[in-house]
Amino acid sequence: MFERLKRWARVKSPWIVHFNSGACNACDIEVLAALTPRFDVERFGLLLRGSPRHGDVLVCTGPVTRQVKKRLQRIYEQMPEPRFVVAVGSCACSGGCFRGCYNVEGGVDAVVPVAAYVPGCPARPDAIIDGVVKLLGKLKALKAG
Amino acid sequence: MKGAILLLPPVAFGVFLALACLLLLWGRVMAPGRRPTPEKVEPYACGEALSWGPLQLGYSQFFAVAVLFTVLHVAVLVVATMPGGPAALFAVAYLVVMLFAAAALLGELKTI
Repeated sequence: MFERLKRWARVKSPWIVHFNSGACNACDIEVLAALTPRFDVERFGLLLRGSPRHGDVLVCTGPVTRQVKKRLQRIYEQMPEPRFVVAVGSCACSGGCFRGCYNVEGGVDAVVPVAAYVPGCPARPDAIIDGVVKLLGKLKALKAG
Repeated sequence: MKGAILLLPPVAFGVFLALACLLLLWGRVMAPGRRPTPEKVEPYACGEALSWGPLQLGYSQFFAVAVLFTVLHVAVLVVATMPGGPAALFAVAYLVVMLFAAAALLGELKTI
């Protein structure tokens, strides 16, 4: 029962941290649009936080540039466990049109483990909500620890 | 009056202290196990590695004033709401403990 309570609490209040690892800002605008009352992703208990110390889910947009790679790793490491990463947009999923550039490491999963991918250029708020719901499904199945 | 003992400041303080301890314990049980890493311990600076320069702003002088200010205000509150009779001893004991704590804190601040 205690484990169920912990899992319920985790699924009902996943706090997110938004990180731009080299995006053109289009996906960032869509992430913020998903948080507004029009799309209202907060109905799933999500809250945007300013510090990785308070975050459960790292929402990453854009390809990971070589300059930002260490920053992304450090922020990921500063999040408490269990932590999850959602790659929003084609660039975050695979590097997109920047894949193979001299200054780009690749998609987000080239640097930190990714739990959910939301493709699109930019990813629509509906798609972001779909990705979030799928992540919550994964959280439900996760053994509370 | 029945139950009036619960309204005594020392008793109420003890009740709320126990309640706070229970909440803290509940939080510790609920939280996942602590796995400290160097990144978790270092200050958050938007992903940047903080380089500590020779000049660091310190608030130790301000803390000393803040501690005395708080102690004086709490002491005034305790004295103002001090119950009559033997129960006043609890308030006096509280004031003494508070003064010792403030002195220890100020001594600690001097070492920073």
